[in-house]
Amino acid sequence: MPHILVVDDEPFILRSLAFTLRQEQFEVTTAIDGTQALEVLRAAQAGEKTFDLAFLDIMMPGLSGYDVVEQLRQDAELPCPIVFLTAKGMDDDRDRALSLGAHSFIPKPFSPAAIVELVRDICSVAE
Amino acid sequence: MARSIDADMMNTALPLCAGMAWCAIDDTGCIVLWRGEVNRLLGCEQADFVGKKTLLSFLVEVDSLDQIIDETVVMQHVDQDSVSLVHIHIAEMSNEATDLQWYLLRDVTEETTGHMGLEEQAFELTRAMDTIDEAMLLLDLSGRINTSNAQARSWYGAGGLQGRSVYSSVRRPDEPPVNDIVQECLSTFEVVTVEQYLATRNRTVEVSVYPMMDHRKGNLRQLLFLERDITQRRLMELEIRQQQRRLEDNLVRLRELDETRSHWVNSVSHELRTPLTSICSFSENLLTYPHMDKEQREEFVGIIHKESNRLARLINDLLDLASAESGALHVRPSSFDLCNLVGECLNALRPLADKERITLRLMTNHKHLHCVLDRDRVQQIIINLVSNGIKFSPSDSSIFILLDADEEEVRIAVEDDGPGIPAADRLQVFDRFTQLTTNLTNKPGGTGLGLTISQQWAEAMTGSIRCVEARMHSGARFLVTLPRQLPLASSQD
Repeated sequence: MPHILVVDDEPFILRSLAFTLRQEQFEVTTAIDGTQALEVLRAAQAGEKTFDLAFLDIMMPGLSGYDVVEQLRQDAELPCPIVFLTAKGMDDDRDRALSLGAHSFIPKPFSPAAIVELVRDICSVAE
Repeated sequence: MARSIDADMMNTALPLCAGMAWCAIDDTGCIVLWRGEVNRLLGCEQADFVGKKTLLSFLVEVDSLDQIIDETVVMQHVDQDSVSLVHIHIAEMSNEATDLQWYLLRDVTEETTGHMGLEEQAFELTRAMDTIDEAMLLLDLSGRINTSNAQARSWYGAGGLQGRSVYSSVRRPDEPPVNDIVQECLSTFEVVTVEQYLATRNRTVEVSVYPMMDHRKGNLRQLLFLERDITQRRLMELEIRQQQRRLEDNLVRLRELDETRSHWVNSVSHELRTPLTSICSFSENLLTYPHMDKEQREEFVGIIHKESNRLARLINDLLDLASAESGALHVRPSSFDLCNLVGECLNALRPLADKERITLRLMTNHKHLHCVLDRDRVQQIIINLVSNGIKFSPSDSSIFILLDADEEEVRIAVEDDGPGIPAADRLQVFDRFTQLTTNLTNKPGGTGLGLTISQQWAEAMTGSIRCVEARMHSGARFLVTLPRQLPLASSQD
């Protein structure tokens, strides 16, 4: 089954996403901030881990979702498709997210069903 | 004697040059005989006037020929599309041999206008020179003044400018001299313009020296020295520059405001969407996966409940903030015991503190402190400050709550043992924008607007909240100062 990384500093959102994805039989790894996310994604870049997709919150204390992707891209290719999650109110974030090579950009609140559909879509395309 | 003989005779006696004519009129004034360029002078075909028109009819504003004898008259010649003025000198010729009156007409246009034009031109030029605001001097090559205009005479001293040296005439000894400017023009043959500030007169002037060349000989003949007072212009330029700077500053401020506003919108959006996301996701999970076990179901419902409350609190805080901004905070004073209220607040917060093994210590010399304030708002402020302290304090630490009062005011200090707030940030910590960007994220249970709202309420009660140097710990110390009594009358409704 596809392996999904979920990164959000809000524990409830993390909990909810992980629950939904696990219910759909996906393998889920979670990270609570940008630093943790960078660590596991770097490991994936190094070939030590494999992710089929990563959900990455943008507005987190310390390293933001943008920072994580920017730092990953300095070293090598992104290890997997990135989907940004955001609760920010401005539309100009979409452009920035996509310019960083993200697959897509999902505003909060989102529907778990839509997330599942997106994962299926991306992972079957990737397979 | 026949008229034709007269004409021949006159022609022989008075040879006509170009621009001259003579004519004879009969006793009715009609032109009957002519010779020379009469038609050009009168501006009329001969056939049209001989025997038909009087000489008088060609003259403008002349009633009788006697008026214009030996005078110059001006005649208007109208061609197809132009009008020209011809000056004609008319002389009477005596000829006793005939009963006709003879006149000699001479075109004097060129000499009249030529002569008057030069004089007039000189006069007009002088007048123009005297009209301008600049002081103007014509100098010879040794710097001696040949000619001056009225402004120069008014600035450099009336009378006696002529023949004096420009170097000693236009500047006082304590002022910057013009020598270099004149000398440079003399050596380069180029226009030299220099701005000078005359400190003693507080004027700014601009001096220009122009070389006046003799174009035929190709050498320098004299210099034109021009000085203009540009004080007003410089002042206006300064004013414009200052205004421009003010505008630029405003623009920068507006951009900052706009950025702050964007930040604010982002932060508020983030704070509203985050609990909403939990509520939406968990409720959808409950609907999508109805067969989850009871424990999980209860956990999810609990989260939904908690996040709904968080959303409600945030909305209340935002509304409070909006009211504060529109100046619509309504203070409702009542009489109560502050010691009692602080005790109540600490009791309410103790479970939260106990979880982190944080001790809340109330320190006061008072058993009762009666005051007249908005009880609910004072409670809100105390709870906000103490719960902030709990959030930022490490486990196994203590928070001090100090209560002190005199006749005029009450002081509540809350000091925690957290990381503290650097002195430079102590004012900003109350700013909702700064607050939002630094504290609002990742603080479940608080909206992050509490400090801003507490300050608004303290100010509404004519008090204040300040972030000050900690005394007992290295953490943050917030000091609330409120009047002991607000007037009851105005608000008892």
